[in-house]
Amino acid sequence: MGGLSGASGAAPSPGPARGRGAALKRARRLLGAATVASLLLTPSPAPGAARTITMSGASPAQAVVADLAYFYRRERADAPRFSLVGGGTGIGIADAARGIVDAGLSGRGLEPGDPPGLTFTPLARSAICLVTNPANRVPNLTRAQLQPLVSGATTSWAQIAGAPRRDAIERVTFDVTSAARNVFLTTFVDLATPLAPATTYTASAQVRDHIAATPAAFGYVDLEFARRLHAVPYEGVPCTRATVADGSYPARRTLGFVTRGRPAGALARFLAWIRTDATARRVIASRYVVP
Amino acid sequence: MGRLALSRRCPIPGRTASLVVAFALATAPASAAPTDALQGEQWAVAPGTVFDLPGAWALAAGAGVTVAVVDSGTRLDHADLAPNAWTNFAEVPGNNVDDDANGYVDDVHGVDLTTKGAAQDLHDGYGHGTHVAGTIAAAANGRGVVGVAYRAKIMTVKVLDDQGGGTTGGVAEGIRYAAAMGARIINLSLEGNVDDPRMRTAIEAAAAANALIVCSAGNSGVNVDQQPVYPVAIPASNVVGVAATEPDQGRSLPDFSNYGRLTVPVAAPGVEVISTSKSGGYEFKSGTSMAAPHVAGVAALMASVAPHLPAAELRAQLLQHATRGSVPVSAGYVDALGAVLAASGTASYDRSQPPSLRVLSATRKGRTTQAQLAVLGAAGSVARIELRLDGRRVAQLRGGRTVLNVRLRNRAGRRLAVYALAADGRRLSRASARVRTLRSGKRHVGTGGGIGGAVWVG
Repeated sequence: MGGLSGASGAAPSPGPARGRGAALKRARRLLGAATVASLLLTPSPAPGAARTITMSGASPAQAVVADLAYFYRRERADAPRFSLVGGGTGIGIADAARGIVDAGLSGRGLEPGDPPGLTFTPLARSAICLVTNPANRVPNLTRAQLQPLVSGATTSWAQIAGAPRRDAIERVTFDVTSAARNVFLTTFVDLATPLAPATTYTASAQVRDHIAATPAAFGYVDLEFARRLHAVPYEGVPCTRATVADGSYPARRTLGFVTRGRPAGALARFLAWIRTDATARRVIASRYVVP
Repeated sequence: MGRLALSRRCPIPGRTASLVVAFALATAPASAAPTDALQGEQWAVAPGTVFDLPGAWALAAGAGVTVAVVDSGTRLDHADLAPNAWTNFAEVPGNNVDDDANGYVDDVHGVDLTTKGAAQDLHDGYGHGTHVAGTIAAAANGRGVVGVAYRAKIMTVKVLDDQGGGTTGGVAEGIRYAAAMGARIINLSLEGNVDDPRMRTAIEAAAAANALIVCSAGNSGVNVDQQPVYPVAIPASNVVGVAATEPDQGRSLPDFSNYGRLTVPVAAPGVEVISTSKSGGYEFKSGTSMAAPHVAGVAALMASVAPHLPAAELRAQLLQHATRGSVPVSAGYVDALGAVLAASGTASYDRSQPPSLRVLSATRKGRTTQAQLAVLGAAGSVARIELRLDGRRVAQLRGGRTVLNVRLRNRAGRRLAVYALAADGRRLSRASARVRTLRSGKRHVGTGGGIGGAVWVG
């Protein structure tokens, strides 16, 4: 610590014999020392201080928020740290309602059954894509084809027009609390259609990995998770950012942040940056559609 | 059977199944799945329940993980518990000296926070803690029962007396002790009606030390969202509340189990659970007290395959991979195999962040200084950690770890500064803290509201 007193003391004026270059060199050296001193003297945040924005919930939202947090921290010297964990939409909303996290990451807007006093702030517009293994490039699915496919009446890919495969269909789905499942059912499945047994997962990455490794699989995932799979057009409309943006693809959803009351403090500043900053909007547009 | 179970929930079936098996062979014990004498009586560990433990055993047995049982003590010489008793090797047994300068004398296998007396009497006069400990980590030794994490170590933190009563002050101190002494999982099969702020701050301190806390939901048959009981109702990213399920494949909640769609995220086996008894034998008990240790065991399995996963991420994975059902909890039934598989494949976001140091505690006693440090973020990029006392360099530690406990003999000072350094010597992070004089432990014993074990006497 001895060096600190020297760094904060008055700098002697440069003598005339030294010249401009020497003065600049010394100024640079002093500036460097002062910087080190200020770094050392900057008090570290008190334990428990709100220097970390905490979030939990939906994995699709988690991925894009991780990217946003990277650029936010790069652009803002005073940016807080971020702590992002998964858990799914339901856990994100419950954690936000209980104050366990600053914001829950949600794959849907708020619904009547959710805890009271919550606020939803949109992050991005996304979609739920119908997907198959990349080796099974089904050209299209209609609503009429989907009902027996979901109910189990259609058992083989040979029964689907244009499907390259001929073997038995392996259905993959999300658990009953999933926001993706809700979008899938409300958009594609008639109320009267029963649901055939399917391999059930709770996380988007699990569904993606299962379908990527299973040639005869059929399921649905978030737009971002469909990249490594074959996204099957629905009624001739492909599942892409463009069709989400122009509203022609029907299974759209909004990813967002759920907070207890209105966002405040560091979180509010981060959300404002997402809403207004050009870099943030580019990050969102690289995966989804800017709301 | 184990292979079938693995492929059922394997994220990448078919081709990946062999990878999972290979992983299991590389990390799991060479022996086959445990076959202890009374295992047939343990419905929770049998194949075919929603708890799904046998598949998880192919991946992990809890080795390398310490689980603190904050309860009524433990019968340490029980044949099923003795092999897995945690030992504080820095403490010399029976010399009446606080050898490791942590404020507690002779805390060799744990600490007794039911009395302010200096000695540690860990015996279990109530039988609750011994039962809980057996569910978590009874040894796979061919006799008696087998614990969920049968290679984990059990740290005994006694906070309940021989009548099963304790205080929130003692529990708070017990949580702090467990986290400071390196417990990765802390089991609290306890319930009370007092929201003691010291329990909240202790849970925060445990979060900083990367410890996950598993709490029983309580046995009043109430909705905890509306009628909170503590500590389960304390909102924290490192707390998991557990409701109990019955032996019908583990799908129904008994009438006595508390629940709550916000406060209680998971359910696990908690009725007619056979485990170790204070008499040295085995006995059946029911209660959310018996459900929480099943989840603590699963958390220990997860921590053993993912030692650097933050506690909040452990909780998130446990919840996300719970099996959804109609029970009134926020996530569902704990799925041991799903949770362990998820933990083994999880890349933590936090671990991708720049490293940041925190001094969790810094104390001195005479000429000995002791500190607990945490490295948030990418701990792997920290090659060395330099410690300075009053500006003088006193020690340099190897990096790569997320929590470090440091004891410096013949070194004293008033301010501790720590620096995280990269392999090329670059300073990555700095933190400092005032070194406080060590105050003797057990200050909170006997203070605060009442608290007791959550066992059902129906």
